[in-house]
Amino acid sequence: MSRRLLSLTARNLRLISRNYYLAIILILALLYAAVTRFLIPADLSQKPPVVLWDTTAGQVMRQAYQQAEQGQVFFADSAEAYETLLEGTNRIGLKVLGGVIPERIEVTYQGWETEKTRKLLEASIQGQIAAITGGAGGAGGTFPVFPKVVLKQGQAGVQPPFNLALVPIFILSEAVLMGVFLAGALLIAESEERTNLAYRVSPAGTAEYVLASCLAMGMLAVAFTVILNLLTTGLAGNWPAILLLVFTGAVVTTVITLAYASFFANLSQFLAGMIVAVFVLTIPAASYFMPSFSPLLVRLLPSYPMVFALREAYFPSGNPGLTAAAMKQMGITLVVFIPIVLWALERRLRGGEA
Amino acid sequence: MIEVRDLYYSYTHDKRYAVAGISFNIEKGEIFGFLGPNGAGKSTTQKILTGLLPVQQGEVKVAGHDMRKPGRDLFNQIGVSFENPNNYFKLSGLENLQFFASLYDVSTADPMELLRLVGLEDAAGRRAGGYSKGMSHRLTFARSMLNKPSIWFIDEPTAGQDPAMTHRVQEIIREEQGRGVTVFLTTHNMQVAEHLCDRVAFINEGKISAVDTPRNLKLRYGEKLVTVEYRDNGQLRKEVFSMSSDDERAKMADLLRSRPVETVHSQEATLEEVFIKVTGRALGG
Repeated sequence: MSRRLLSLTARNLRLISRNYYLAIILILALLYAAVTRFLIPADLSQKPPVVLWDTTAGQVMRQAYQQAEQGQVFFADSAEAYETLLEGTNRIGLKVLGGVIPERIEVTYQGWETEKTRKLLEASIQGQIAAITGGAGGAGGTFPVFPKVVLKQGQAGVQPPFNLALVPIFILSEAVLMGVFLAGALLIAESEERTNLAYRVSPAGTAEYVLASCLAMGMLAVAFTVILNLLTTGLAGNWPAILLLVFTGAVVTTVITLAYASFFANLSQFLAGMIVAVFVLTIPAASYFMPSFSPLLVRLLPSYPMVFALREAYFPSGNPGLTAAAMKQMGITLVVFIPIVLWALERRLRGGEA
Repeated sequence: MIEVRDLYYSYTHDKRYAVAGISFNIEKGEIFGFLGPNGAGKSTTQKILTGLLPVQQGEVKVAGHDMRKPGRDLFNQIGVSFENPNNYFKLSGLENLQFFASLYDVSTADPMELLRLVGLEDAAGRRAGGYSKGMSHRLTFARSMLNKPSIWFIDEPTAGQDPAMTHRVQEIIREEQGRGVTVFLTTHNMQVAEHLCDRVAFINEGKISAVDTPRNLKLRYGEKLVTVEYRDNGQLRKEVFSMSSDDERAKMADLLRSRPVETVHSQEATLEEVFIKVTGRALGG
């Protein structure tokens, strides 16, 4: 079996190379690296929307924010409105306390704001108050700002530069694209060249076919990752975890794609299906940028835990369990899809297309 | 080596059978021709015998393996040459054979030697996608011999070949038979069938109409004819007489006595004529 497996894997890699897919992968890695290094800025921070609840009698902060065009500001008039406005968003809360004039300001963070963002916000509030009070500030000349509430503690961590934060997304999209496009294209080509029939009358089995496809796609995904890493994040990050996640992610998408693609008769039909598959599998990229976007259906996708585990592997925040969680979910996906892919391919090789 | 009993197959899983209750046996070392027009059921039968389609109803044994559950070992023993060439376009002829050779658990033939056998040695390093139809067909034919099969399924082995290569392919099949290989030959080509086959089966509309040696079929269903050319008032005329009819034989004797005869030719029915007579259908349609 190992000889057959090696031979099948080598054939896959050879066909991928002869169809120029390997060249496309290399170009894509270089392109992603160039975009990351030269086009996307390292800091893309902007003022987050603010929810302001001024409980003072003078309402001077509210008036100041209304007049000063401070970016996007939502005004709350009650504790309930304040909490509602802060739910499930990337907004920052400012609760102004005091008698007639502001004496204390409580800040509510979501949890993923960078230290830089927090300091900028606090300095901005200090400036705002200084302007209101004619530069005198409060009792001690300045008003204290108390970061009081952090809504989502688990999200707190070191924020990587924005351009490098995209690397896990590039890796995810590549692993998905590779699995969906290459594994699907090779399977369909087998049908179009009718080599699947020649394969079926040899002693080689369906399981070996699937395993060899997974190995070839996993190897390519790892090669792509190594190139992109070396050109972007360098030697930083947890390489064993990154490579393990990428290899497993490629295996999972390959298995899903082989099961899925076996229902399409030709490449043109499969193209439409491929677009849908890529779209669905890359939805978790939205959750990556907006963690509060995590409906159950998205969390069930194998690419969801993968992207967060990749982020943790690249930019550790003290949550190594994410890798294990991702591996577990991808393992469960494989357990579900392996019988399906074996059945679907067997069906295609035998009665399905006769 | 091959036993088929009451085999039925329906692609639509109902009573519209592509193969409807066929039975036959093939002995070791025999070349068995399976003849029929397009859509007669011969490809379906071959697909069932090679495990490409499941056995729905009936019994099929190939080299002692029940084809309801063919084991991996069976595929080490059989070779299949498909009617339509099916090679990896992006791999060379040699790479195609090397790849498939690596899939077998048994000792395999030298791929280069096989390419030489079918006249592809000069194209061994060229990608199969650039081969002509005839070359692609020969590559598929060569691939089916990789594992030195004891049962060899060959579909239209001479399709797209020139007369010299057709002759060469027939020689190769004969040589393999000499090694004890059992051959299941599917073809439209009656001359090839007549030349190679020990026995043939006529299949039409999913049913076998006749199974026997080509000679016996011709004797049973064919007509022996005699063509006589003679002069009548200076004009050259021709008449054909059936030797199976007393009246015709008497007429011919009368003609031979009374007219100046120029030529006399005896003529056997061809296998194709027998096929048409038995099935009521021409092979091309």
